[in-house]
Order: sequence, then structure tokens, then C-alpha cells
Amino acid sequence: MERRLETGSTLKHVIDKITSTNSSKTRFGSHCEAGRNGAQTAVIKKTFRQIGALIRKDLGLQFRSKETLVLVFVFSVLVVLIFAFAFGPIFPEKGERGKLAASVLWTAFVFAGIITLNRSFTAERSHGALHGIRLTGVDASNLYLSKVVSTVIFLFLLEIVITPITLQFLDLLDVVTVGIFLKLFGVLGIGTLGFCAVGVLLAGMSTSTNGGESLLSVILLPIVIPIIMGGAKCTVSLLVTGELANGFWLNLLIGYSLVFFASAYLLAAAVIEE
Amino acid sequence: MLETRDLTKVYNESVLAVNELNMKVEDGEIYVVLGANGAGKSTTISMLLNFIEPTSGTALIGDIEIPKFPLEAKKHLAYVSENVELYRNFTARQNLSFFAKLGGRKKVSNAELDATLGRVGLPEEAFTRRVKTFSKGMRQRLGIAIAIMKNAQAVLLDEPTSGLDPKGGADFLNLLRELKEEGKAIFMSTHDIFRAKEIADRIGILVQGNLERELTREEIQEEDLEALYLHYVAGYEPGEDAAE
Repeated sequence: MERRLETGSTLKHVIDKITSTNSSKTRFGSHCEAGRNGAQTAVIKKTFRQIGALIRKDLGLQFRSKETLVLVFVFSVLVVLIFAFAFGPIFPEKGERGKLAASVLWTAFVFAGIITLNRSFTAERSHGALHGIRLTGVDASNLYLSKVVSTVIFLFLLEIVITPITLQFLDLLDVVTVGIFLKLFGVLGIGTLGFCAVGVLLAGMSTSTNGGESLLSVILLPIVIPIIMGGAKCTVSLLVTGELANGFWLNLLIGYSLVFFASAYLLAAAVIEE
Repeated sequence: MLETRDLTKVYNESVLAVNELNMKVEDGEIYVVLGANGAGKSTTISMLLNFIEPTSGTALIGDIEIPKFPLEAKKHLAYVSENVELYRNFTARQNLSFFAKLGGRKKVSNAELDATLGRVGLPEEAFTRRVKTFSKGMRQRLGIAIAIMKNAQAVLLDEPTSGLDPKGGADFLNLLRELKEEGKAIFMSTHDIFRAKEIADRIGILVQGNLERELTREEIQEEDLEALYLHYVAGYEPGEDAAE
């Protein structure tokens, strides 16, 4: 009986010990987890701060130097004017004007985009700033991400200015409602994202080579054809019918943009490190 | 402390740029590597900064292996190139603030930025001037200001005084002395044997990727560095006229 009691008390002691060990392990585990979570949060915050600083720097340089800004604005207006003079002053009926406006917009934005992309790594590559950035421990993927965001913002601002000018020149401004404008900017925004996703990656490669400017156009345009096709068809649909009539082109635009963005993000580290 | 262990770089499987380099730069020490063009000085610096991968061997900053943990290692390294340019359309203050924030600083006050820029000897009127208007000496000072702001453990400099006038060069060396006093490990490559003699605690002579000779402070003062350099780099024997 005594032995049984002793065994019982020993057993109880062991159970208590295991329980206390487990609870201390749980406590330790939860401390570790909390520590890990805290460290992860700090890393995420630092990453966002770095991306934010890079975007502010890119946009700051663009608006400060104004070289690219003036160039792409003048180029885009010139494209609009040439088309307007060639087809004007008496324009065809609304449907044809919608098609013409879509062509003008996408021609202007694609070439303005190439000019912008060609210059997107100039400051880093030619003035040695890329070494400085890499030494701060910024991940190459985050550098890519910041370049995509800043280029998209820059081109989107250009699109906001150029689109009404184009519609005015082609006598469409009065038939486009606010709703159509918003949808149009949505389509242009998605197209710009897909275009820049691939473009920034290729610009990262081509600007470090001789003759990189022409190389970028040659390799970029065939790749982004699905985006240009999807974007142009959606723009035509919006300007002619006021709606996105055919879902196929919108799906193509969104699908390609997202696939390009994800693939380019994964490849960015290798490309920029090289 | 900055260290290399059998650090080797072979380009295109045929060009040996750096061959089993073993050297150590202690904290508070200035190590100068001398060598002709193509001797492997810049390749060594690029490997130390993890801009290029070594073919074999490794490099360490403190206990951190640079090729294995590049992001962690880069936190402790600063670099001043031959021609610091950075963002030409930003002011000195904006450049400094940008790199400080990128390094993880949440907020940097103008007072702190100005104090750092003042410390490296930039005149106050230059703080808000665009870098594209700076002389080379001023840009090199800005490079040092960025290194100071980063508070890196080691500072690597690739021919930082080339093209500087005598006063600019002397001022720059004084800045390096200050960093040394603060306990930074300084690794500098140069062609300039006179400046090397003036500032170095140790000198390594690199010839075709091989560290041919290392000199201590005492040896630097005692030996004819110019003759020694020409002997290793150009194969001149002591007493031979280099012009012949």
C-alpha cells in the first residue's frame, strides 16, 4: 500500500514535472514565436521604408531634373498632334474616332514608356549610386519593385494629362463621361503596370550594355504585344460603346500584366545583381 | 576586422584576377593595397563588398562570412569609389538623407545631416547645392559622409585620391585618420605610393592577383617604397633607372 502510494506520488511528481516542463516549453515557445513575429514585423517595416525611400527618390529625381518629364510630355503631345492633323479637321463618325483615339493613346504611351524605361536606371548605373544602394542591404527584388511603382506612377500621371488632350483634339471629350474616364484610367493603369513590370526588368539588363536603348525597344515590344493588344481593344470598346463589351481582352490584359509582374519580380534579383 | 581567406577570382575560367589572397585588416588600422592596373585591387574590393562572387575562398567582416550572408555583411561595410557621383540632381543633404533612410534610419534630422557634412569639411553653402556642381574633392567628402552616417565597421576605398589636388588629397587622408581613430577597419587601394606611405599602417603589394609582399609600419618607414614597388610591379632591380 505504502509502495503503491509512493509509486502514486512519484507518478504524480513526474506528471507534475512533465506538465510544468510542457508549460514552460509552451511559455518559451510563445516567447520565441513572439520574438520571431516581432523580428518579422521589423523586417517588413524596414522593407516598406526602403521601398518608400526608393520611390520618393525616383519621383523626386524625375520632377527635379525634368529632363525625362519634358521629353515624354513633348513626345506624347507631338504624337497626338500628328494624328489629329493627319485625320482632321473633319473627323469620321464617333465609332471611328474612338478607334483612332485608342490608337493614338497607346502609340503615345508605349513610346513614352520606352523613353522613360531607358532612363530609369541611368542615375544608378552611370553615377555609381547602384553600389551605394546595394551596400545599404536593399534586396534587389525590392529595388525592382520600387522602380516599377515609381515608373507606373510617373507614366500614369502623364496618361492623366495626355488622355483629355487627345480626346479634345479628336473631338471626343464631350461624349466621354466621368464613369468612362475612370474605366479608361483603370485600363491604362493595368496596361502600364504590365508594361513596366517587364520593361523595368529588361531596362535593368539593357542599360548596362552598349546600345542598350535600341536593345530595350527590340526586346520589349514583342513581349508586351498581348498587353498592348488587350489595352488597345479595351480602350476602343470604352470609347466606342462606353463599356467593356468583350471580357476576353480585359482578362488578357489583367492576366498578362499579373503574370509578367510576378515572373519579373522573381527574376529581378538575378538580373539586377548581375 | 576585415579578413580574406584564400580569396580567389577567376574570370571566364581562364583569367586569374586574384589568387588565394590572405590578409587581415584590424579595427583601427589602415591597410593600403598597392598595385598596377589589372593587379586585382578592384576585384578584391568587389568581392569584399559582394558585388562579385569569389571563385573560391571567402571574406569576412567580423564573424560574418560575406559571400554567405551578403545582406547582413553589407550592413557593416561602406564604400567610397574613385569617383563618387551618387544622385547629381540631389543636394548633398538629400543624398545623405536618402542613403541614411535606405540603411534603415527612420528619421534623420537636418541638424544631424549638417553636422556630418560639416565634419567632412563641406562648406555650409554646399549642403543645399546639387551634387552636379561639386568638385571631385567635395564629392569624395560626401562619400565619406555617407560612410560616417552608416557607422560601418569597415570602410573600403578604391583609389579615392586619384585626381585630387594636393590639398584635397591631404584633407581626405586626414578624414581617413579620423575614421581610424574611431576604430574603423580601413582598406584602400591606390597607385599613389607617396600617399600610401603617408597614411598606411600596413601595405600589401599586389601583382597579377598575388600578394607579393606585406609591409608593416616600421618597414614602410625604413624601406624605399618606390624602389620596392617598381621591383615587384615592373621588375626593376634596386639601383636600376626606371627610365631606361
